[in-house]
Amino acid sequence: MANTRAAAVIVASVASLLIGVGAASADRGVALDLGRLDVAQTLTPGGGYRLPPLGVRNPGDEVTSYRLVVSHFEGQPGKPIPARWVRFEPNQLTLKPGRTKKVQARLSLPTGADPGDYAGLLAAQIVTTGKGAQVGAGAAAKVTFSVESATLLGAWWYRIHAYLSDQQPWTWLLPSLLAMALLTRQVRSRFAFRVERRA
Amino acid sequence: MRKYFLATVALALVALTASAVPAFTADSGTVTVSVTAQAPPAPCLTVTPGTVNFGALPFSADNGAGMSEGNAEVDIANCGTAGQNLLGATTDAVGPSGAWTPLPYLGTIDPCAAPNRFYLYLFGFTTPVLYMTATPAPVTTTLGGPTAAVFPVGAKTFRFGIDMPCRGSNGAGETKALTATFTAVVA
Repeated sequence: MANTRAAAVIVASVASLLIGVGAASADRGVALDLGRLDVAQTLTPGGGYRLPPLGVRNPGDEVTSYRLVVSHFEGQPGKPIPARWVRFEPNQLTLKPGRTKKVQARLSLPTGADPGDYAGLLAAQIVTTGKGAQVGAGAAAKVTFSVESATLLGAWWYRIHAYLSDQQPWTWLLPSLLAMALLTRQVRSRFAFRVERRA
Repeated sequence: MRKYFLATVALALVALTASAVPAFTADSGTVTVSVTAQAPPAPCLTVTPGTVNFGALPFSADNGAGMSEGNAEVDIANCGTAGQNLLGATTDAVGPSGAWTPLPYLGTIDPCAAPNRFYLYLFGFTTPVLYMTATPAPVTTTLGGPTAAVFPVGAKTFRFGIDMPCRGSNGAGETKALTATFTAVVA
């Protein structure tokens, strides 16, 4: 009897995965406009690379928020892609039913990246909120690329190049404007011009 | 003055040179890589409902003999134009007093080998039953092997099952939160 009562107390008080079921009939979903990305070039440590944009679509019937993530899967070929190597712009978005938005993905290899073949998933996942057991959906494009070995000097050169590329057009516009200003000043200090209406 | 002028011109040349190499197809920003991009068919997935209810469950006991199970139904649909692979993964079950870790199936079910560990699995869909962990794994597999099988266009109903952690685990009286995520990947 004591055991039965104790069991009842346990049942009443133990952890549960009890949740409030929301709009149960609503479909939430996600789609991508790209299935697979195989990078043709061998990439270099320190380099920065812009991947083709991913179109994220809401195929469901309610407004849904998504986050962009990098992941890997069981038994995949190649090394997993570290999440910090990939940056999405934007990395989170909210879409009305039927709407699509492009997301830009950028791959930044650190100077110490191990050479070899890499594989992983670029995925858009539903952002789940609330308590209890949530069921989420995602759609992913498989991505593969190879990283070549590089000297430290070469890797840093690519890193500097990637930085300058990211700052364009300022990395060439500002020095060019400055050079033009100095050139004009040099010319004006050495030559005299006077513009007059022809008589 | 002449030195400043030459230095500025040199700086401009360096910036222009560095922006122009390597010889990939460059646009206004980072280097754009050449890819073989697989256009349609593209992955598409919907799930209903977004939350499932396992009810209030007691902790498991005694190496599976007193194992506590619950289940809940879910509809999942391939809304793409072709068959796709489906991957499944789950987070820890988290609550105010701590987390429970999902366990893979290693030939036996034993939630009482240590506290704060549970099993989340799918049945009515997969062959064999898939025990979900943090690593995305194929939900649709060929019979008797881990090879991913194609999930055809259309909808499928299946059930989640949960084997509760052992007595002595954290979370008595709490509602734990977890997210099971299904990811569609073009086959």
